[in-house]
Amino acid sequence: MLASPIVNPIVIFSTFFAFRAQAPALNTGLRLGLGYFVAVFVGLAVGFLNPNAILRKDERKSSSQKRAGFRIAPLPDTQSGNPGVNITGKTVGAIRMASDDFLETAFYFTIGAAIAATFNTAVDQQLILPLASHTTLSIMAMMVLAGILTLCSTSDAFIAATFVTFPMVTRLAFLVFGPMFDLKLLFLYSVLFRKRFVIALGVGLFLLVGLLCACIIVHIYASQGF
Amino acid sequence: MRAKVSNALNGLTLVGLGSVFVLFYLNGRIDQYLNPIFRPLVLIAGAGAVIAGLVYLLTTHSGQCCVDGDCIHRHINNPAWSLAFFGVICLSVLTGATLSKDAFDQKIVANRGFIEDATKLPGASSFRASNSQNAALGAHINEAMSKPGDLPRAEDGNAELEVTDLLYAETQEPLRKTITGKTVEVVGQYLGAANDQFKLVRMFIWCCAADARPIYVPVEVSGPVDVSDMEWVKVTGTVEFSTNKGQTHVLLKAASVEASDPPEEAMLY
Repeated sequence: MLASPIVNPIVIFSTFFAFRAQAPALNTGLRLGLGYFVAVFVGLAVGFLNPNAILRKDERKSSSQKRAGFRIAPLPDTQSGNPGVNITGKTVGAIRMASDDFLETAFYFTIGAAIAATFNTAVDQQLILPLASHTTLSIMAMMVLAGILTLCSTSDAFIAATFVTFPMVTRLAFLVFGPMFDLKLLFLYSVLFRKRFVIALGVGLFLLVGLLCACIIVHIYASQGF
Repeated sequence: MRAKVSNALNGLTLVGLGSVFVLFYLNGRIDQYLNPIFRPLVLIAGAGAVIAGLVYLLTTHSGQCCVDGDCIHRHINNPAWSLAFFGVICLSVLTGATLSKDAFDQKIVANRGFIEDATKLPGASSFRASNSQNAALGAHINEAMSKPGDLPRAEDGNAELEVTDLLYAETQEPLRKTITGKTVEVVGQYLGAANDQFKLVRMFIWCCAADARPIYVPVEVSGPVDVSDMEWVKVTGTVEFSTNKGQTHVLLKAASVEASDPPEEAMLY
């Protein structure tokens, strides 16, 4: 969930291309590595938690009730052993179930996208420029900006590359935090997870990515002359 | 009865949303929002949503959509939630599609902030200026490189360039030599700055309108220009380049500035 928006070939290529004049291999490698590390770290940490404390009440199921990807869920008639459901009935059932999934997800997605679009157009993005001279503040500002802008991970590197007044490490924080937690994802995560967990996830990611960038990644960049 | 109401609302939501997507594709409005390579997906997604909505409307809910009757779709048969789905997913998109001007105004341009460094544009260093269908981009530049002096021509014989072409030229000396001194025509949106200078603006998109950023070429004029901010204009003039602190900057010296229709592709990619 956290790694897939970053650790995929399209994002690797687009990041390399966007930073082709600014240490492309280093920036792409650090984005990939930091994104993977944070996702694994958070995954391991969440693994220790009780599912009841994470998932919404209606999402907690026994393993026999969980749906598997690409499996067309059996219709009631087939469960009762009635062979009367033909391929048309199964297709209709699959379409209806996919539509149900879509409606429940799109509801939250649309709200998140609307809020993000409001910020994206109505807020002056130049307001954060004065923070560029302070590394820690600029890291935080860029992560907040990434959360608000809710950009696609395949194109966010092109936006990050244009913030030339900001240090490289702040742009990396933008590129790692944004795809993991933004306004759209805040609402999407709320479909499955408890509110408390979603908030904790957001705060945890903000602190983890921020600390790693401010304490470790900044030195890697410094050693490479950035 | 409750299930039937939910069924109808959910189906209408899908049909309404899908119809907006399909119409945006068919009437070309999607061109103002999305990179060309993604546009066919809008048609596919829209058609899929319409079909799903029709299936929803024409079939009845079994009452047990998931395994063992323990449905994870907790809201799907609740008319209040179905009404909320209809309002948030369908009506909001329909309202947005109806009210949208399909363009950025100067306030949004100011909020987004200009890309000041041409090297940040894709293609600035490779000369593969664009993978889009923009008429004057990429292919023209490459052609100009292979046949110096053979720039794309407008009907009146002037070189017909895009804002991006001039910005790319800041980073490419051979292209600068090709363009310098030629009479060129460039179409863009007027954004006033000072009496003797204005910005010729275009929006540059990587993926979709969400990541659109304004780019511009400064235009020097001899007198005030009688056009409104963000109005489309065609500037005819000559191009000059100057170097300051190792960085080359372009300046378009206008001989004439006249109102123009928007280009077929309002966005650059």
